Amino acid sequence: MLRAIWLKSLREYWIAILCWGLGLGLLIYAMYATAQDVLSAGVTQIYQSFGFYGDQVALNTIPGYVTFRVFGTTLPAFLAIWAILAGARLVRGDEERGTLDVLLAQPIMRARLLLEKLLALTLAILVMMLIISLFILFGQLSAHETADYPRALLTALNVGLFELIFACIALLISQFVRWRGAAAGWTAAILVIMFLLDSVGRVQHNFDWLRHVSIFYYYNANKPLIPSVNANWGAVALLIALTLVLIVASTVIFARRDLGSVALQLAINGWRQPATVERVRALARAAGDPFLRSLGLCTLRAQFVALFWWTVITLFFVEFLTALIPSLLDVFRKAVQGNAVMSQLFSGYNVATNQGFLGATVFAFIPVALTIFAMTQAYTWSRDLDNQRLEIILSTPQPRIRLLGEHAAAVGLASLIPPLLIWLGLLLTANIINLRIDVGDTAAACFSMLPLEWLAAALVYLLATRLPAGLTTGLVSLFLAISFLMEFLQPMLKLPDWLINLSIFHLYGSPITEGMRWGPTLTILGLALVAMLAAFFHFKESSLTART
Amino acid sequence: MGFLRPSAGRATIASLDCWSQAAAVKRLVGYLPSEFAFDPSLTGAQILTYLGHLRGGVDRTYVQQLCERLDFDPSKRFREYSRGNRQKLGLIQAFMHRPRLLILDEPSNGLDPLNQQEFYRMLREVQSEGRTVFLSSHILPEVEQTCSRVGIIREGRLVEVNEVSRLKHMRQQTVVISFPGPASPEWFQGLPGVAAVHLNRDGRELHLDVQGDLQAVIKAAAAHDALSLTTQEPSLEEIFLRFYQADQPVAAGR
Repeated sequence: MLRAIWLKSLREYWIAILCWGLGLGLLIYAMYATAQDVLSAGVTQIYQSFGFYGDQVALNTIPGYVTFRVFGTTLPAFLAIWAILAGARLVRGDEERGTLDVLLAQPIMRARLLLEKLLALTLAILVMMLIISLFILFGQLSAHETADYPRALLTALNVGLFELIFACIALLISQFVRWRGAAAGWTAAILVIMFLLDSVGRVQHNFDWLRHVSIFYYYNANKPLIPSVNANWGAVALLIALTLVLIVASTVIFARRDLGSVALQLAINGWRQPATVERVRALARAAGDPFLRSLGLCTLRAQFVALFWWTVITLFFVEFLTALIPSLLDVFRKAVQGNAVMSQLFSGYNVATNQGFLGATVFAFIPVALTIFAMTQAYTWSRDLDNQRLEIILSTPQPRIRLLGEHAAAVGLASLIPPLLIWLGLLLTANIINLRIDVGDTAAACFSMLPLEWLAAALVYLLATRLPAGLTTGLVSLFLAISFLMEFLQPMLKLPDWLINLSIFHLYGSPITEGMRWGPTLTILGLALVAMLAAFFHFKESSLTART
Repeated sequence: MGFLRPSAGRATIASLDCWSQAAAVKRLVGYLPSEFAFDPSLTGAQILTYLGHLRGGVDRTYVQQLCERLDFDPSKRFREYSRGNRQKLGLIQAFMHRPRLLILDEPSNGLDPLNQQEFYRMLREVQSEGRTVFLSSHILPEVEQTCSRVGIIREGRLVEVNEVSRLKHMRQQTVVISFPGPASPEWFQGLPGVAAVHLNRDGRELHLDVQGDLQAVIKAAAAHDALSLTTQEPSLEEIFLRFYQADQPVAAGR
């Protein structure tokens, strides 16, 4: 596997191929396996109100339902996260690490290097799609549908083409920016814009033309799983042509630009003063920066971008669903009336009430998202310990406990902001659209998330005293994933009380309908405190090199 | 520095315990690790200001002087700095609070020759002010030039600590003696301090490995009408290599 660049690059993708291929494959299989029950329960009534989400073609058939739920937006957009990151780091990642210098010191043409790496990425996507196509086939069999592998394969290949385009967009953008993170961010923004253009065009017929500039539109022009939809080869040809243009542009630019630099150097810095003046100016500017006064403040500043985006996205999700309540409540009421399967789908919430609807849609997922957010913020501490960024900080005359305390306080404070803004946002939106919700219950639902966030962060701090960052986050993520799955599947699994009470999301419960649950909330808070105290004790007493 | 918990014994700096009084110790110390890593998104100026605050405030004029002396541009982000510039930043943050003790691990790594010379000048100033520099380096000519005392570590144990000058004096030196006619190694074998004698190819020159003073060797050379006598003092590098020779037993630290 080390004989050629493309083979070596392909070797680096095998874990991603397996994880994404199997993970998404299982999702597809689960969707097929439950499709008949869900369709019989009349779920199509609800999905007909979700026009913004995808094309509603043959929605009352299993292929139509699976196409709408999985292949329309969810799977391609979800997998695009990986494709975008892979495209952004294809050459920029090696440039950042300094490994591209070594590779290009060998007698290899730049264009060839880029094309070989791109070949490896294309093959990785292809293998992933072959795995997915097999799961589509298994799904068809489990749903007692006619097994049609050619349709399954074409569906997967259509997804693969979509992913390759976004990887290539990220690759092209990475030629114009210095950091792979920036390239990935800009490409993700393009993905979101493309989705919005397609959605708005589909819902608002006056703006139908908007869809024609979205890649989602040309991707969704083909629905190979649904026999009644004819193949649109023009759309495929357009997507292939776009891919080729992106590849050629990236290759030409990469072959011509300076290594470690960007394709277009804009003189935005203007005229630089003599070195001494610049020096004085930079030091004076830093001296007036309030966020450099302590580790806590510096951590808050470092978290700002992540905090901003997590808050914006969760707020958007919450406000969007809240705004839908008046139009969807009747549909939900009719759908769940006397229907056991539909009730199970919403984890026992009475979705015919405002707060029940919020519980089933918003507060079944937001606590998980914000707990993951707190974990990723605490992760920065263990990452910095791993890569020795804290060594200099720890050489200053600050007690270790204070440094850890300041970091934890910054994370604790940052994790307070999204629940607070969600609560305020909910009250504001409800007031604007004249929706009746209980102020106390919504406060309970929002602020009961805090102990969950703090427990996840405290576990990261505790494990980080002994374990490397990757293992620490892996273990805490596993705990969160099991907790979530236990609670999510509880209506079907019917786990005994002692077992289900180990799930922190079960302990969170449904305060949006039941009000504040002080017992479980204080239990989680107590656990978080104990974990944090143990983290303080271990960090104070342990050597910095003992984290293996 | 309070990084590692001692498995046995204790370490002190200025009579302060390095583990239990770590914060007090760190007030006295300026530290440069072998790999200086920091948040890549902060600029050099931000890093220096931040560390200055964590140290309870530093003299900004002095920080600026240090930047100028090492020709360091603090306006760039850490990830944009070359290895040499990262090293300069590391040195500035170690020097900026005028510590009583500087602990520097491979301090001249990545510095260009001009900045190396400036760094050596900074070291001499620190020494002349009565402050201490504790420096670890693989570049032995640099150690020889900048340090007054050296310690040699072999297989994790301190095998020698001494003044550089005394170490050189204590260790073997090479003496080359030329004679007008054929010479014999036997003339010098057995003399005090003479460890080995080698005859040169033309038979008129002897190479002696001598430890300690040369009185007996000079007398014997004069007795055999020596034409010239030159001594070659060993460099620190040669002394170091002798400690690492395979047959050299590991001695207990002093």
